[in-house]
Amino acid sequence: MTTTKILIVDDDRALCEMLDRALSKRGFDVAWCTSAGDALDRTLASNHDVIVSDLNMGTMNGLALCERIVANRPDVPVIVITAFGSLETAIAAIRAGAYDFIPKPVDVDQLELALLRAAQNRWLREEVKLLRRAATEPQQFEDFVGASAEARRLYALLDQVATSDTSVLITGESGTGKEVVARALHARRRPDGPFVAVNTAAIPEGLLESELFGHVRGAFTGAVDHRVGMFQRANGGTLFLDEIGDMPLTLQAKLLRALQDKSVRPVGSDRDVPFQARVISATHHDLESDVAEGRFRQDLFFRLDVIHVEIPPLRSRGPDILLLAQRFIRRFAVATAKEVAGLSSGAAQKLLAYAWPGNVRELENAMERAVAVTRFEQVAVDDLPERIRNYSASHVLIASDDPLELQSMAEVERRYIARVLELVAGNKTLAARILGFDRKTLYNKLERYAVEKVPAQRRT
Amino acid sequence: MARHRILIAEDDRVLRTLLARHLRRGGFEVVEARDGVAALSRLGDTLCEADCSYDLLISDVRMPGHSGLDLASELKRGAWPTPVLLITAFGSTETHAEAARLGAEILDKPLDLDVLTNAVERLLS
Repeated sequence: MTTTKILIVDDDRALCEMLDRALSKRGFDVAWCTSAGDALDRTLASNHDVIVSDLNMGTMNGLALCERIVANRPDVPVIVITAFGSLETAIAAIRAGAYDFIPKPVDVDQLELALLRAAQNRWLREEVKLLRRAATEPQQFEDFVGASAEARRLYALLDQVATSDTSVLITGESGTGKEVVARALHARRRPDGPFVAVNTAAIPEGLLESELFGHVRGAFTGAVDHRVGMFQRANGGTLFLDEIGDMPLTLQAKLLRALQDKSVRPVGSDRDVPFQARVISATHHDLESDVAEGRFRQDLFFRLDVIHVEIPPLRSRGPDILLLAQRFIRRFAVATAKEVAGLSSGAAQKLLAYAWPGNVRELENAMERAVAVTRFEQVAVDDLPERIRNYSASHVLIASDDPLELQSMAEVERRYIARVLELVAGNKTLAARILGFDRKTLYNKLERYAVEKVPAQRRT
Repeated sequence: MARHRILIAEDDRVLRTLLARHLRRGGFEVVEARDGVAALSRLGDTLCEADCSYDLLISDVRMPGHSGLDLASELKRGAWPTPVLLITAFGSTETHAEAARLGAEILDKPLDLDVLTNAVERLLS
């Protein structure tokens, strides 16, 4: 329990001493002074919780002093002592920023109450300041933004990872920002080097080897020149292998060798070329089942999974949904020169309740569309796509003609499992039986889909 | 002949599952723990029963809550005979030194399964 520190300002010495005795007895830590100059110096230099100042002082202008104190230390409440019957002066003091006034002759009980209220008010305001500051702390890691507990857990890991050069494997559902995180890690570690991104799913298998490792002239029909591969181009920087789960098995073997030897063999060449880049790979696949079913090499997995960064799905990042929505709205409003700033509370609720199978990318697209169609200054419920507007967690499948509204099998499975669990009141044994899994499989799926978290989010 | 029992503490679900599967194929009985707290709970369960204690603890160093080093420290403090094999992505000299001080063996990631298997067999013999 800290004692409240008071400073009394009055040119009447006897009054100061009297109040000192009376208030010290009641547990306050009292200091006093009889001059305005002194008062200001002490206000600025020390940390009093409350200042008590007489307004009617022969030798100095109490009101002016009050104004000066309030101007210099707006965080310290001032209680003024007013002469009997001078209500106008009291009002003037309040207008000048005083927290309260006490008429003479001073009733110490009344003063004590006023002091305690003032001290508590000060304490509360300090608390809010601290909380606000905490709420605005790490809200991002480079371009990856978020203030939720999930996001912060990620930042702690990213801070640690950013200082090393070891391979990183980023996993997470589609649209969670895997490339954003990869770029963020690159920016922290090798900002001056190249960032080379390869989407292994987008390149035809026949060309992928040459794309990654390069080729020499004449290596195959059409190879009229030497080509420098992506590994080489990333020298001194970062190579980002996206959708690594989609890499064909034959290439996986070559990739493994490249990572082990730290060199690549261009197609058609008989010599190895060393490379010097930090490798970050990413996939939305569940590599566990890919390895189990022979689609992904186990030894390559172990080689890539040195540091595993798992990005949580948007639906488990609660408040970040709105944080990100605001950012997107601002960005698109500026880009389209429309005066749109923020969300209606109805729209905000819809966003929080939705499952976001497409994660951040889906949110970004939805906000871009909403800003474009809105006729208001805020994004309203009507501006949201139908699937978000009409979303109910119990809808397992929305069969639609709009390709944007179709979901992946994984999302359908996730919703169905959540629905079944809801209907059996959380009884996992029963749910497993209905679904036709054994319990272990059900647990694995629950963990993978973060199903338990969905009902909690809806409450916010 | 009783099979050796290995406890794996690893918060990376995919890594944990694949490691467990690899070791089971090698003939070991494997129990999985998703973090340090779960691992301690498992270890605690077997205090009084010698015939179902663990023959080896494999643990990642970096986990939420109790780290692998914390686990090794707990075992050492309780003078438990269970050998400890730590795996780490952040294998600084300090981490290696700390592991040695706690009597644990330590492997750096990326993991080479052959090296891991050799270490396991050595620690179990």
